[in-house]
Amino acid sequence: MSSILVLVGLLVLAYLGSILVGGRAIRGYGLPSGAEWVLLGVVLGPHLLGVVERSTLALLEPVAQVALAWLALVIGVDYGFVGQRRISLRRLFAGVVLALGSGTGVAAAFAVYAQTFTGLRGHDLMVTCIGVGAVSCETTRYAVRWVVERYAAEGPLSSLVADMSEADDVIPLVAITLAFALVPTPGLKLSLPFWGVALSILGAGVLLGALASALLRVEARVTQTWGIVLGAALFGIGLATRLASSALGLLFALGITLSWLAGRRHELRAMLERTEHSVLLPVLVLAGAYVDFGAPSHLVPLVAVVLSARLAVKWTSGALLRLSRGGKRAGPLLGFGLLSSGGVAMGFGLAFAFRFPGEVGQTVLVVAAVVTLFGELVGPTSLRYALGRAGEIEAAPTSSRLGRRTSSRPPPRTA
Amino acid sequence: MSELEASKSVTARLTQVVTLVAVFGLLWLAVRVVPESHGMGQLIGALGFLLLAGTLASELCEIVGLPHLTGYLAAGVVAGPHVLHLIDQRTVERLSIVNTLALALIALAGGAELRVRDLRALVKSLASAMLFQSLIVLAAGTLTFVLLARFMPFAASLSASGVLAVGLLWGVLAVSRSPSATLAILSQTRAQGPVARFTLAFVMASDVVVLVMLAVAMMFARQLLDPASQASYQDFEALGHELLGSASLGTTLGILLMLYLRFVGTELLVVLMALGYGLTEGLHYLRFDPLLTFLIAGFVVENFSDQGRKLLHGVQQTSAIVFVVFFASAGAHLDIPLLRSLWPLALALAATRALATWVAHRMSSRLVSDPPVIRRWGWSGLVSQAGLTLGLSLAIARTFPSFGDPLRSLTIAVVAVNEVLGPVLFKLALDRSGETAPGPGFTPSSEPV
Repeated sequence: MSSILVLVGLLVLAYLGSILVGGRAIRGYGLPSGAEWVLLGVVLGPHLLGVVERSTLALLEPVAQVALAWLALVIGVDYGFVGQRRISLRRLFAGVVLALGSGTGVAAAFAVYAQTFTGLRGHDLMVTCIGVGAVSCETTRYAVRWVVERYAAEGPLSSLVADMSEADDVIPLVAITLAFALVPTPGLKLSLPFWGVALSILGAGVLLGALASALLRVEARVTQTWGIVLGAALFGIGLATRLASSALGLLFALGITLSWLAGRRHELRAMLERTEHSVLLPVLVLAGAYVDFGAPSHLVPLVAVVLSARLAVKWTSGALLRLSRGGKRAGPLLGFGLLSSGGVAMGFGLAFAFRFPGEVGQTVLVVAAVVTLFGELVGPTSLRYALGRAGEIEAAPTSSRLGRRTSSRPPPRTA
Repeated sequence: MSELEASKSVTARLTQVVTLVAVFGLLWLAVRVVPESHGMGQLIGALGFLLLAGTLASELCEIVGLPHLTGYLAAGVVAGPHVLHLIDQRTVERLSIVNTLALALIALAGGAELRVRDLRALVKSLASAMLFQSLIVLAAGTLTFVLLARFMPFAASLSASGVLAVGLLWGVLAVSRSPSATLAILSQTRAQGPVARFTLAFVMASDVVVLVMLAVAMMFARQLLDPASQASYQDFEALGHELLGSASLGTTLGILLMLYLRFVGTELLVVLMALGYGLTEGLHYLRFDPLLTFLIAGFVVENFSDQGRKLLHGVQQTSAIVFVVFFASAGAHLDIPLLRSLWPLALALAATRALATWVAHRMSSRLVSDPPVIRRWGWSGLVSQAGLTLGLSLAIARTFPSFGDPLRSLTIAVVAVNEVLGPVLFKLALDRSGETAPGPGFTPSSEPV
């Protein structure tokens, strides 16, 4: 298939993504995590129907890498906020710690599986463990937003879950940066330890962010603003790729720095939000097309181990959250409500598949896909149950004239 | 100088200078630390670098009143393979992927800028200018080439009629202008007035005229190079197919765009990108001219609906970024060593062309009694040359392989001169004629560009 044709196909998907995810009229339709697009990719990809060939996927790799890094930039710009509201430091810390715990728990379980069933050892094993932990630790904010918006949920638990789903993104991004830095950069003229490479990448992101912020402080025109942000982002991707390191980590650092230093977070967020919608859908489809379920040895035990571990760590996270003021009325299924996974996990899995072609990358991507599909089945329903139990949504939503399901609860008082 | 330009503080300018140096420094360091880099990462990094450095350099050009385009070109030249070697030749070649989108947007914007009521008012001026410019520049270009042929090694082996044939082709190349440079300057200055309207309409229309002239010139050149050959009308047949096909497809596209803008109107960026890449590929396959197709589509939207402003706004928002990369990569592409070796010839040919353009304009303006402002400055926008001329030279090189490549090298050198000096001249003319908008317009919007 011609690469231009596929590029146009991706643009059509971007268009659809923007309409479906961002369009006010039909926001909340489709599956919460976008898992149907992952499935579409799997079906169209070279491992099933073969509509999109392996060679075409290879041609699109740079586009996909830019899209992934762009998502990291958007996450960075928005990090620490839910909409206009700043997440408190305590919740930010809690979100980070829970994500770290979840990732470590699943990675440890995977390590046991890998020692038993696979030939992965040493360096490869460590990279794969980090990857599996990275794609398993987060709760996708898209699913949380979907449930909260669709059922018009409002209250302490909604706010708590939204905060957790936003705060946990930092862990996989740092993990990816470390994992990529573990592999020596070919042709590097400096002798740097892996943490030195990782710090250089994050530092370059901060430096570029600071430079872009300085420019944005003296430049008010919209087109110039776009030139600066897009230029800094692409330049950052180029630098990271040259060092064979993670562009996602660099752009995340760039995004956070921009958000802090430019003094125009709301404007930047508004600019980038629409592109996020456009980028997400093609990423999900491409990631799906890359998934090769035949690549990891012993798929069934892998799925069983990863899902059991994730269920356990998320249930524990939920139990811990129930100790807090916002979560105490949530009921026992709160932890399962945090199981939703989607765009970000698939994106990170795809980044691993690009960087480590073969068993390492494919195992991480397969885990991301499994976690996303399973999370879709359990996460939103459990979250809805928890929110209902906390009294933040009606138990049985009604259907509106357009078919959109909305809560029958009266709107909150604004005064 | 505009109010906004003037109001930019010293701190702002210093910030831009420091950032520009830092961006160059960062790439320099990366290239030193990892000298060998393969894959598309280099291309993506180069795109980002050129976008940042081009934007900053163009801001600094404002201080001395130079057009942004000069800043874009300068950033590319300095970072390119012939000066600092921060972007290698292979990456520069791969940057041409941006050109596809850029040319589609340029043509769409060009078409949307052409309004029938403006054209009606200018029809006499345009017709006269087209006739004089085409004939006088063609004649002057051909004559100069024939006179200078003895200084060109590749022309030494040609017979007198052969030199005339190549001279004729050179003459046609001299008649071609640069729609991209014209639109880039108009987009930056947001100029409104007789000079801006005349230049835009002339440059866009001359695109079609040059295509016809090239077909005729190639037919004569074949005869002159090989008198025994039969006159072939195949070029005309192909040209007719190309022009009619492009016109009908452009009209259809215009109607579809019109309907889209009227009934949907969102996500114009994605739609334009899909059209730019997807449709251009299809047009190449059908052997239609993408520039003409998009030009007509823009023209149809502007003149047969009330959606022209919306289209133009969308295209301008997008093109503001695309122009930076387009011209910065053109700067990186400039073959400085070639220019160094051919500069006397290139300068002579460029100077003669500019002089012929000025003479032709004065004559045509006097004949149709153009308004004084057009009479004085109307020629200034016709000096720029860029991608269109290089595209035509490539077509000549393919048809006449015996001298096509050296002629193309000469064209590249002359285009380099015109590409650098032409926009400066045009911006100067717009400033002097008072058509430049007072400020670039700060319109906050969350719409992606």
